[in-house]
Amino acid sequence: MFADTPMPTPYDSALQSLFNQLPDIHSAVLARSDGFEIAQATRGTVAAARLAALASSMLALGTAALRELGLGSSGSVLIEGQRGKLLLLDVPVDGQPLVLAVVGSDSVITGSLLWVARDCVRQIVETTPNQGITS
Amino acid sequence: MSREYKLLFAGPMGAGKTTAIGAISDHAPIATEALNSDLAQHSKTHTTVGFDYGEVALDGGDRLRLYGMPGQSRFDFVWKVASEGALGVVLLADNTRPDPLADLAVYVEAFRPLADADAMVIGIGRSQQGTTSIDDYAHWLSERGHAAPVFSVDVRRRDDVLLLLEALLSQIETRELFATSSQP
Repeated sequence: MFADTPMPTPYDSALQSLFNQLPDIHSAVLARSDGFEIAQATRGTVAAARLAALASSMLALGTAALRELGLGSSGSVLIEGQRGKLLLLDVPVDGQPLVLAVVGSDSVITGSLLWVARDCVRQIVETTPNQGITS
Repeated sequence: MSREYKLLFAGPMGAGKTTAIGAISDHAPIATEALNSDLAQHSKTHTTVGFDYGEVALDGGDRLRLYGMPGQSRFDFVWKVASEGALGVVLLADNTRPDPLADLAVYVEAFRPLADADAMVIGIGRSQQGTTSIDDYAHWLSERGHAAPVFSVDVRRRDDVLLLLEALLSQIETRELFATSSQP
């Protein structure tokens, strides 16, 4: 299920937990906020590098919209299509903010998707050492 | 009747697109910057991952809407989306990069409809450094059939960025005038 890596990282474990909780999730990609993929999980195939860049851009645009409206600086973006949903979440890790992109089927319940994805974000934040840089 | 011009700023990472828009926008630009983790590509701390947006009001009620593109090709989907309805593009080059003409080729190709319409100007940053001359850029463009003006600029200077935009608007208006006069 996971890309070739010598040892599962805490990120892989968090994404695996996400998959275990909700079978309607197809793919999940964790990326740096500047669009580089750092972990992925999928039940099929996913263009992870492309999704990482898309997620970075779209979440940045969403955050810019929030900032312009005075609604805060960190958030999520949900896009619903005819055949599935894409959820993007800010992962507020000190020093190197991350983005989580989760692709679900059209049958996935949005509330459930949000719940498990936010739990995944919490796991990632808890297991990521402080990078010592502030953005 | 007042017009709105949607114009793009494109070029490699670190060429100064965000700085250029910030130098001339009437309000603080909308920015979508993320912490840069690709320090091998460029040492700057932040990089645009969505787009920058700024505006300039002109005399007579016309308005420029300025979109700064992310430089890295992994964000080329942003280039395509932003190109919809764009009337022109400012391509910024960084003359200290290893092969600035190869960089230019990437963005001329990415914005080919605007380049082919000569709705394009080239701004060369750090032109006193590096080995590529302004003439080299002009020659490279001419060989490929492009009549884009080429300027040496410091995008931190408002007047330099305005020069680029004036040249671009002139290019656009000339094309429109020609298109109108060519109609039967």
